[in-house]
Formats: sequence, C-alpha cells, structure tokens
Amino acid sequence: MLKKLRPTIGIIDSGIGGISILNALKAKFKGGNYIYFADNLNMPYGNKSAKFLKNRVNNLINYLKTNYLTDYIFIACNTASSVLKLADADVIKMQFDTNYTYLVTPLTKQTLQNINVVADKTLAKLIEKHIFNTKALNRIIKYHVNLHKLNAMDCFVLGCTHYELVYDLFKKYCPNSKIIKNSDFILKDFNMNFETNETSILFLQSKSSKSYIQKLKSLVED
Amino acid sequence: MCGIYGYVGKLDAYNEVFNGLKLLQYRGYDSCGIAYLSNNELKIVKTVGTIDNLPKIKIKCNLSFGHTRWATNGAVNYDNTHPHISFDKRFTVVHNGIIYNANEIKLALQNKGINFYSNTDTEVIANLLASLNGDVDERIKSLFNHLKGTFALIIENEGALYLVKKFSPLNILKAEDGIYISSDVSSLKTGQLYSLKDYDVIKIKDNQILPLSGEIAFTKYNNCIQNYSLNNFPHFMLKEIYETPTAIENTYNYLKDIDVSPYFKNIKDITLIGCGTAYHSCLIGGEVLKKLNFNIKTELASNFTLFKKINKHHLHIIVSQSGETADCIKAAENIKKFGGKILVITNEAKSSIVKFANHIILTKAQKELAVASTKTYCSQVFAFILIAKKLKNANYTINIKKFKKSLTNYIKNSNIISAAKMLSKLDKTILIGKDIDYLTLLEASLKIREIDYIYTIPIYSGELKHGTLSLIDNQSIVLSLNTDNVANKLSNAINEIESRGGKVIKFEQFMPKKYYKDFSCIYSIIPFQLFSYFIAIEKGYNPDMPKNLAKSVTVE
Repeated sequence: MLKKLRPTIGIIDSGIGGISILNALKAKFKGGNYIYFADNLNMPYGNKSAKFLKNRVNNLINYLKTNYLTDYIFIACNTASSVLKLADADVIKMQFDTNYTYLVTPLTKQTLQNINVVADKTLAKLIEKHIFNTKALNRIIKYHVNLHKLNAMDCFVLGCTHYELVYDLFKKYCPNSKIIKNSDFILKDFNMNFETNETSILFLQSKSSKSYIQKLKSLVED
Repeated sequence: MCGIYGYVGKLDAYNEVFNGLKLLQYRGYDSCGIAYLSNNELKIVKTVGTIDNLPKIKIKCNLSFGHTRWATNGAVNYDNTHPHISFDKRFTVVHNGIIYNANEIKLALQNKGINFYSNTDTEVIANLLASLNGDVDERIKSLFNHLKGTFALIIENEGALYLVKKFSPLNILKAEDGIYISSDVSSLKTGQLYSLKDYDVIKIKDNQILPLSGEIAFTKYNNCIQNYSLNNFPHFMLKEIYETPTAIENTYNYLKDIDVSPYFKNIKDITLIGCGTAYHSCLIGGEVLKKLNFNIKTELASNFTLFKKINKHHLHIIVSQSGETADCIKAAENIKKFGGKILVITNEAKSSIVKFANHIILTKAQKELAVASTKTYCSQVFAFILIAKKLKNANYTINIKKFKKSLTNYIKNSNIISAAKMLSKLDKTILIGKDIDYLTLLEASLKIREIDYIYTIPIYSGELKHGTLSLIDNQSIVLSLNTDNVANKLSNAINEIESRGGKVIKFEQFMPKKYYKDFSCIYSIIPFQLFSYFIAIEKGYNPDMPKNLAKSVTVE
C-alpha cells in the first residue's frame, strides 16, 4: 500500500494577516506542507479595486497550483474573498454570515450586501506596520474600538485576517463583547487525511524583502 | 537530445523497439532502456551503453517503448536511464528534451513526501503526473501548464500510451502491422505518417489513435531502412566518406534544375547560421558568396539573437544537417519573429526547421549515421559553391560524372595511414593555413577533436608567431594546408616551427595533382576526414560513436 502524500496548502494574503490562518491550520493538523504567499507589493488589498483584486488573486492561484502543486489554497483575506467568484473546490475563501456584524475593510464593505458591517480604512495597514510594537498596538486598537464603539456591541466578527492577529487586544478593550474570528468558520468544516507529522513552510512574497520574511516567520506559532 | 521509439501492434513489440532504437543511436548512446507490456504487467530493462548491451528478449508482447539517452540532466548511470516510473507505479515515461523548472517541481513533490531515485527531469514528470488530481487524460494535458522547457514524451498508463510534444520532435506512423512512434521519421517504415505539432497530445489505446488536443492528418510515407547497413565497411564513418562522391552527384542532380536566383533577388545582406560542422560550411559558403558582392555575416546559432525588425534586403541562410538542431530552430523562430527571410539548407526534407523556411535547398547526402559529419559537410560546401556559381552564371554546369570519378579515385587512393599513426601518439596538435584553407582547417580540427580526443588549435599561419609558437617543441607535430601550393605562402611559419624542432605534415601532398579548382575545399577536407578516422582506429576508439556526443543536437 502506498503512503498518502502530504498535502500542499497554499495561503494567499496581502501581508501578514494570513498567518492567523496558518497558525490555526498548524494547530488543527499535526503536519503539512504550507506555501505562504504574501502579496506585499499590493498591500493593503482593502483599498484596491475589485477588478484588480479578482485578476491578481486568480493569477496567484494559478501560480501556486502550477509551480507548487498545491492541493488546497486558502484565500486568507476577507477583502479578496468577498470579490472572488470561484468554481474550484480546492480553493477555500472566507465566508460571511448575515447573522453577525463584521468589522471589515472598505472594499469588503462595498461587496457585501444585507450584512451588518463596520468598515475601517486604516486599521489593517496599521497592524501590519506596528505588529511588534505592543505599546503602539494598544493605542491603535483602543482608538479604533472607541471610534467604532465596538465595546458597546454584544458580538462582532473580525472580518479581516489582520485583525485576528490582535484578537487579544480587541478582547482587552471590549471585555463584554463576544468576538469571533471569521477564519474559525471555514476551518471548522475543513478536513484533510494524511499520515505525517512533518511540517514545512515556504514563505513567498511579491516584493523582495528579507526583513519581511523574518517578520512573517516570527509570527508563526510553534 | 535522446531518441524515443515505440510500437503497438501484432509483431514482437520488444524486438521492433530494440531495432528501432538502434537507428536512433545517433541521437545519443550513453544509456538505453525498453519497457514492454507482458501479461498486463509493464516490465523494464535498462543498461548503460549502447542498445547491443540490452538483452534480446524473445517474448510475445504487443506494446513496447524505449529510449536511448544523451545525458543532459544527471550523470550517465543505471538509475538515470529511462524509462522512469512514478512513485505509485502508474505512469512510465520516456522523454526527449529538457525541463527547465524540473528542480522547482521536484522540490514541491519532495515536500509532499515523494522520494526520487534518479537525478533526471523525466522522473519529475512521472511523479508529477502521479501527484496531480483528476482524470489521467486531463493530467497529461495539464503538463503544458506545469512544465517549462522542451519535451517529446511517451507515457504509459494502464495499457494506454500517450504521446506529448512541445518543441522536441515526435512522429507517429500507421503501418499494416501496427503503430510506430519515433523521434525521427527516417527510422520509420512505410505507412501513414503524422509528425506531431507542438502542444499535441495523442492517446493510443486498443490500437486506436485518439487525438486529445489538436487535429491529426496522416500522409503517405515511404522509407527504405535497408540502406543503413555497413556494406562491408568496418565503420559508418569510413563508409560515409566513401559515399561523398555519390552524395555530391545526387546534390548536383537535384540542384542543377533549380533556379536559385529568385531566392537572392534584391538581397544585399546575408547572414549564415549554423552549429559545429554546419557552421564551418557556412564559413566557406560566406567566403564564396562574398565574391558576389553580398555583405556577409556568419553566426553561430547558439549565439544568435535578434532585437529589431529585419529589412527585406536581408536573407538568413540556416544550415542544419538534421534540420532538428535546437539552436538553429530557436534562431529560425527568432528571425521569423522579426519578419526575416530564411533559406534553409538541410539533408532532411521533413525536419522541424523546414516549417520556418521561405526557401529550402536540400543536400542529397542521404542518411548519415556516424556522429562526425563527413559526406554531409562536403555536400553542404558543394551546395554553397554551386549556388554561388549559378548566381554568377545561370547556365553553369559541370561534368558531374567526371567530377565524381575524380573524387572516387582520390578517396580510394589516399595514403594517409602512416601520418595518422604518427599523430595518434600525441594528445595535442596545431593546424596552420591561410585564407580559405584556414576555414577548412577549422572543420579538420573539429574532426580530430571529436573522434580522436586530441586537443587541436587551428590558427592562421601568420598568427603563429604572435603567441602560439610558444607551444612548439621537438615533440610537436603541426598539420599544414596550402591547397594552391603557392610557394612562400606558409614557408615562414613552417620554418619557424621546424627551427624549434617541430615537425610539419603538409596535407597538400595528399591531394591529387589535377582536381576541380572550383571545388578545392572538398578535395582539401577529405584527407583530414580520413586522417581523423585512422587515428581513432589506431587509438582503438569507435569513430562512429565518440564519447559524450550525439549526432543530432536537439537541445539548446
């Protein structure tokens, strides 16, 4: 009997946000072969046009499929997920549920209908920039929580993977709200069968920068 | 490079492929292997070296395919020999060409947990097919998306054969007794032939030929393979040198009625392009065409790139014996892209390069099997001289019977063996000459390098004293050529060598007293061809199959 192959999972995001998905996948499955594509050249996706994003993400999907033989691809970006119409079963994108209120980027807001959303222009970019500066991050999240009056809500969903990276800070400033990570929904239903506990992660970026790769690597949880 | 051959039909398939591969050995002979389907199980035999090292298996089987290798990716050893099998044993592949992104794909596959047993790009293809998802037909079609590079493939999966082609040649032939597949049409029998186009995928199942992409149209094809026997000669190289007069006669009879002047109408600039021996014939061609006031440039195909539009007064002449030389085909593509005119001079009317040509001139040298080109070089040089003569005088004729007789007698009576014995003891030599003789020496020098493994330096006689003379000592043997035998032409250089203890073998002494002066380049190269042949014999090498080389260079 031949052994089952270790699946290759591609993760696409504009920057560091998708790391939250990578960490969640790593926690759920013991091993795996991950290709993380940070499109840092086009960071942030939140203020790009829908046409541009559709084209770009489709190109990246093809690139990962042909060059890295991916078995699954996660569109680890709520903005990109909201503009894409996909037919391929092996490409998994973020979903939105009309029962919840979402904190999202402006482009995601434009594409969502019948969903309660709070849009923020700059937060994703600020998190990307100050991810390792705890003091600054505290100030930023506190400001945005007050701006959008998030702490007055009973429940809201973090509709951008960048926000998920600072889940703990949202929790800190909204102690009485139920905060949900949008990636929890898709990961709950996602399963793969393989027999290995080896993990490999390859980081790719569209704008070459050694320090950026280091930044991505240091966000990966053991 | 490499050659692939396959057969499906009622004859003994293993034997058909065994004999077919023998005819493809000119494309490489580092190692070879055959796969055959016996009792629904695919078995494989492989060996390092030539086809004769493979076992002669007498077994009833109706499907077989094989490969003769010229190593490009991975060393010459058993593990790297084709056919290669995928990790799940479902796909067996033979491949002619190079995959440029093989390392990247291999890494991606290794990350999935696939182990590799060879260093070839072919095993990557087999494992890629096995790791893709979906229907087998679709997986095979998707190879064009995954693979960068050149490839002609035969892939076996559950008793079906798939043929895939991009850039490297592949042909399929329907005959009464079965279906034949080969890299080279000339190795195929008589029947209905289809030469695959780029991006074609063909499936052969239950003796049915099904195109999976593209359309196929068969045309009638005749071939007589029996001409390829040695005919009492010890080697093909010697046989082919002896066939030079016939090759030239056939080329003359073909060319005499062709009006070449329209090809050169309004042409001011000519660029001649070739590789190896063909490049040397281009140099001679350039020299003779220069006298007709064309602006001549000669380029190596491997070094040829254009960047701007070509004007209509510019003609590109590409010379390729096989018509499959990858560098020449790339150059032709490049020229076409910039709107240039191409005249192809080739020995193979049905070769890949022909489709790029505005005009074609054939050399009728017939099949040449020895790796070192001899009769085809002479035919190319002859064609160039004849073209130049015809351009100057449309009614130009020669008495070809007399010319042939003169050449035949000359080859028969040549007495070069003692000189060859002398040089066979050395591992390096210098060749000196002037003017067009120097160009002949470039070719002579290549012959001695490729089949005798002797380092050779061809040099203009006047240049000797500007550096190379320091190599001369009392052990040195220098080969000189002075076709016109003009006194003093080389005498200074010869004196410089002899006064330092070096010995000079004057090759004009082997030439006949009377010969056709217009065609002196043909007379002058023949002693060198024979010379290199006899050195190889003296040294115990096989002149037909020099190490590391192959006849038709179908990789860039």
